Amino acid sequence: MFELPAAKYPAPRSGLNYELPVAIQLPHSSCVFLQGDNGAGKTSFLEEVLVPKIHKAYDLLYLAQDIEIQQTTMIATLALLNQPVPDFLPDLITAWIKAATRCQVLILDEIDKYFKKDLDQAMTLSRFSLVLTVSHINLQAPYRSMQHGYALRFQRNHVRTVTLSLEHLW
Amino acid sequence: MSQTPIASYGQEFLVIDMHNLFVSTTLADEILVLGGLNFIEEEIVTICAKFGINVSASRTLTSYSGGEQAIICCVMIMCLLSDQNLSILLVHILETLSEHNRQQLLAEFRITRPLVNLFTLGPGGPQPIAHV
Repeated sequence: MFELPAAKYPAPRSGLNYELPVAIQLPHSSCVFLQGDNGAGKTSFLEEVLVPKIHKAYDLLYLAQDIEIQQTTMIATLALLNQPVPDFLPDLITAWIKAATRCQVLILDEIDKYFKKDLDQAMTLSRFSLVLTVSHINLQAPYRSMQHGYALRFQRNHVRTVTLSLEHLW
Repeated sequence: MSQTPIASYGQEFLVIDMHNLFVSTTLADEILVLGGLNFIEEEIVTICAKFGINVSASRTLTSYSGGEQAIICCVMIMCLLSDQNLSILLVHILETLSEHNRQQLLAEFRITRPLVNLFTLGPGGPQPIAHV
């Protein structure tokens, strides 16, 4: 469903260089956890490498870390679609995701920290072909409705170089 | 829209909210606005280095990652405050940090400001963070 060849991927905006020694091949119904220490370059890799590549082939919905900035867009869009606009942030996020019926790829950047109940129950993740999630909470259970799980680990070896490795979880 | 944590709990707690960390664009300006003294900057840089964060007072704060910004803000508050019996409410801060940085931050608060009481925001409201 999605492939990323083994290569070096420069990210000019962040000034980082990502090294992927082994190609990534993700089948349909995959969930990928982007893991690494704070400042390892996870969000920069999403924004400068993954999103531009995914966007060429799939419709994607990206919930960025600074969710507060996106709230106005969510509220306005739901209103335009004549759908209820929840007041509580987790419910607003859920409604926004449910309204994105055309999207095959969902990207969550530290969104699960807003949910006190099962994230999958709230969002029905299994309808997506690919889910990418950045989280320091390290919960796999909410994503188990996806058939395949992977961890993409970020290791910052030098000031500007990040090495990536993929581990198959389930 | 529901009330912000600062509006709900600001009277009782010093609220450090992931969505409202800074008012200025650089650390130098932030310290200036908050009335900090010059030596505070050096102290912040030293403590942040323990987290692997290379802080520059003139660098735009939004150029750091979200987790790094959270750490810088907490360390700055730590350095600006005197050690006093104060309640600090961390909103979506600890969940943004790696496990290592989470423990490191709590340890720094315990060492630097032992009189401060730390809380996180749970479903029922502020909950005290047990000492590790």
